Amino acid sequence: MWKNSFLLFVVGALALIGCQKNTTSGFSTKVGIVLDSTVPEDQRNLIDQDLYNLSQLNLSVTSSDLQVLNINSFSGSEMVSWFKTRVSYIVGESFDYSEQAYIVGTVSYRPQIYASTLLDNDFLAQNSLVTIMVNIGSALYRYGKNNSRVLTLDVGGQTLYIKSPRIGVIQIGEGLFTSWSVRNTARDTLANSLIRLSVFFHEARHSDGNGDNVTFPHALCPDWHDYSGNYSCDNSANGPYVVDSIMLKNLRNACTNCSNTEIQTFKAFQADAESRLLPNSTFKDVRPEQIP
Amino acid sequence: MVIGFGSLLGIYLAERFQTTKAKVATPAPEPVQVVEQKDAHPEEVRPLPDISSEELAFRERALRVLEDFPKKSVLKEKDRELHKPPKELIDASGELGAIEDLLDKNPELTKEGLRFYRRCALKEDLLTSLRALCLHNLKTRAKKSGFDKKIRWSDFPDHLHRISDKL
Repeated sequence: MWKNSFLLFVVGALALIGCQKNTTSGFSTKVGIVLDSTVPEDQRNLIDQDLYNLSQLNLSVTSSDLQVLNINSFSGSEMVSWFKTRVSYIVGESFDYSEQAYIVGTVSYRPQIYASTLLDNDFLAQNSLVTIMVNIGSALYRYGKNNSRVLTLDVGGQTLYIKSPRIGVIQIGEGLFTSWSVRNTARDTLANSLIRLSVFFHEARHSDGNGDNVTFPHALCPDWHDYSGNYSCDNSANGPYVVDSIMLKNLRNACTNCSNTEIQTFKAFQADAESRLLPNSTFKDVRPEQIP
Repeated sequence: MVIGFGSLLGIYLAERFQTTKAKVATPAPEPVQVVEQKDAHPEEVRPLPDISSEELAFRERALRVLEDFPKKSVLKEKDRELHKPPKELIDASGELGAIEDLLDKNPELTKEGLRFYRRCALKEDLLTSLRALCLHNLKTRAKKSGFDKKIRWSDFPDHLHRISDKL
């Protein structure tokens, strides 16, 4: 009798776990984002959960926040759509873009829109130190543009021609899920999921822009700044760090049962993002450029 | 026998008189005005005997926390990923969360909490983001407790106000 009850309990619990997994499992594929085979299974599940959480949002936000993101509402469907437009592929830490990217031709990019604010090699070198998240698609586009080359990238079983910063290939690393979590909490808490989403949105902004501002590159931090001497600031009032800040502020409101430590972590990240916005920053054109 | 009793009574009265006299002669202790830090506000100057053991414990903890909070210099260390917030800021958020818990549960620690946040926001060698968060917490707690009119907000630089008001 007891044995049967116990078995029933175990079967029931497993069914529940299974149901829970099914609600978010494969969610990224469902919304049209390809997770490359280099993304480990545990990270894949967390990303599915993150995107599912994003799809469930329905927050009331200020009109200025909506203006920065060029959206009409902070609803799940609109946020997923915004993200999907800028991120199509997510690859894992072991993905080696230097082996998967090929120069397939030369092209005369319009000289007047050549960028000179940041050397691509520096960008790639800086981002290779610790992988939390990198928009390698936009970085490769800049590389091609600065060197008058057309590149392709093999990802997710497809060969992509990199003709726009909107190619949307994001690389993630273990750091996103470990060192990036609220202290002493599990990786799958709602707070950690929402914080990761803010990083995704930051990187997604790098898929925008044109001319000198293509990919919304970070600006050199001045002498008086905490990050002086590094390209870790923004002079765009709608750049990646402002997007970060807007996401952290509003996603915090979605975390109704968050602890004080979680709230303080949201705010600390937001303060860091805001501190990188340089005085006299201006709104930049977000429309992505494209080569024929 | 009678003489013996009289002597004992005499000794007892003499001792009692001396004790009373000694008590009267000792001056009462004056409350000590303690200023712990040169930047302390006048309203923060409080007689030491008024501090409860909980407040004292909080003050000691706050001093330790402030000492351990990340400085700007950590960003100059080699091989740092500087596009994202430093990991030390995440650790500091944990400390701030614990302090917020304490202040929520113990309203009598409010003044000590305000003092802590003020010092943190004024500490120029700390990460700017952390100082801004401390200023934000100071504003929130001060408003909630009705102390906001007693704080000299002009002591804090404009850029910290800008960041803290965004949070």
